Amino acid sequence: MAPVPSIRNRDLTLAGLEAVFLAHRAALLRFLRARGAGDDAEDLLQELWFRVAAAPAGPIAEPVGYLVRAANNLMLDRHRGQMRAMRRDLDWAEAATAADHEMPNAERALVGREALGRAEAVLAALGSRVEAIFRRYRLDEVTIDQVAREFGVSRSTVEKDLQKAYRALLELRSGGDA
Amino acid sequence: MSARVTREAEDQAVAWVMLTRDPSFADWDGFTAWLEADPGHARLYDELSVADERIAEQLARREPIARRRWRWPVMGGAVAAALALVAVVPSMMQPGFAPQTIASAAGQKLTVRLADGSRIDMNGGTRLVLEGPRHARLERGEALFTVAHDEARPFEVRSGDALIRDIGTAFNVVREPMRFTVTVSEGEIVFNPEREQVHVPAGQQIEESGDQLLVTRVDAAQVGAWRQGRLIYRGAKLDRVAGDLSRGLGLTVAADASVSARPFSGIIQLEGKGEDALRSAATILGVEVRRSGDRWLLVAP
Repeated sequence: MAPVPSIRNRDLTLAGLEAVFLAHRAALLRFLRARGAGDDAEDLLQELWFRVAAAPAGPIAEPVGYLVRAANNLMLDRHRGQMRAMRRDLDWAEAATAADHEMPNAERALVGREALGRAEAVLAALGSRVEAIFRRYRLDEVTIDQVAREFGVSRSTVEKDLQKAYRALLELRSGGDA
Repeated sequence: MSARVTREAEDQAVAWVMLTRDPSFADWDGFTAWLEADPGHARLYDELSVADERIAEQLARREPIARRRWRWPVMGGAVAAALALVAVVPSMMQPGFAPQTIASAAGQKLTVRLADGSRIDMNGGTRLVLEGPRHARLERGEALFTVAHDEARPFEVRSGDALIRDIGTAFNVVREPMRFTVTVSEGEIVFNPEREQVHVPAGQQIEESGDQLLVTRVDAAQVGAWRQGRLIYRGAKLDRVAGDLSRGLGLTVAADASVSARPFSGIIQLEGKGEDALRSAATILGVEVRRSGDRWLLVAP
């Protein structure tokens, strides 16, 4: 069977996606607003489409979910950008914040390893199953259902373990930033 | 965050951060409803997502270890003289042992058994020099060393200017022009015992990356899987995969610039050799194969 030239595949996928995008325009706008887009929602919706159109397109099983996820990622990137800008503004005022960027390599690696040590200690304290489940899910990008199958436990057990691990790790953040 | 966040809202935010990471997550309506319930929820979700990413990055990839520059210690005359003596009679020179070079052709695997019970599995396209009963030098390619441990005489592998010393070990070494990695499947090694002195235990890999050394976690059980024709990757760039395919298949395979930096995660089981095996590997990689002279290029489909 001769493969269909992929440029055609891509066009087909894009045309299909565009139809879904237009049909769900209102829902996507609503999602962007709920995610905090405010007055920029319309602009962000347009940016979302540019992004989706530029991304390498393969077959997409759940086009609506794909678009909402892309919108969610867009908002996350926007938040990261804002945080970076804010940090830049703070830099001149707050030497402590600046130290985070200007630190010589060796020290930065040390800080990284200390943080790593803390995260690893927190995970280890939760017990081996919670740790293994967290690592598998969070670092290997598999689904919760797949993790449940692999560990021979229910989906809700996996969710509870993950919640425990996330919660404990995210506590580190408040400890470090405060 | 200035606003006071309730414990309940934070628990919910943690749950959404966790759930939306699932590649098959589908409850976008539920997520939207939660976001709309309070304008603070979106900010909380953003904040926790960024923190979560930072933590996961730290866990997945150990921070680079800054290279310590090794300097000759300043010594008095007596110590210097003693050191010079050691240099004149290197410990690896043993009477009756002639250095021996072993090379495997591309696509050909070789196993070397040493008198002390140690074993070296060589992948295709590999060149190894046995410099002494407990000393080897990997000039290029890939080899898995399963070493009979002897506390008094540690086994040492040199490659380029790196030195690997075993502490009861099985480890895999890859030496290519742009890549040098040591992956430990059992026991522990010391990487450059006279310089950085990095201890690398089983389940970890050390990699030279420019001026830095990178230590990452790996699945110890999968080290040396290439012996069964199995190539396992997590986010490996295609130019690296191309190097492994060359060794495994006996073809010169390179990744075209358009795809060489593309990451691949998954398992490739090489069946047989040559062009057919390369084509089925390419299908898994999502690329096409183009022949150019006696080279094979992985290109974007």
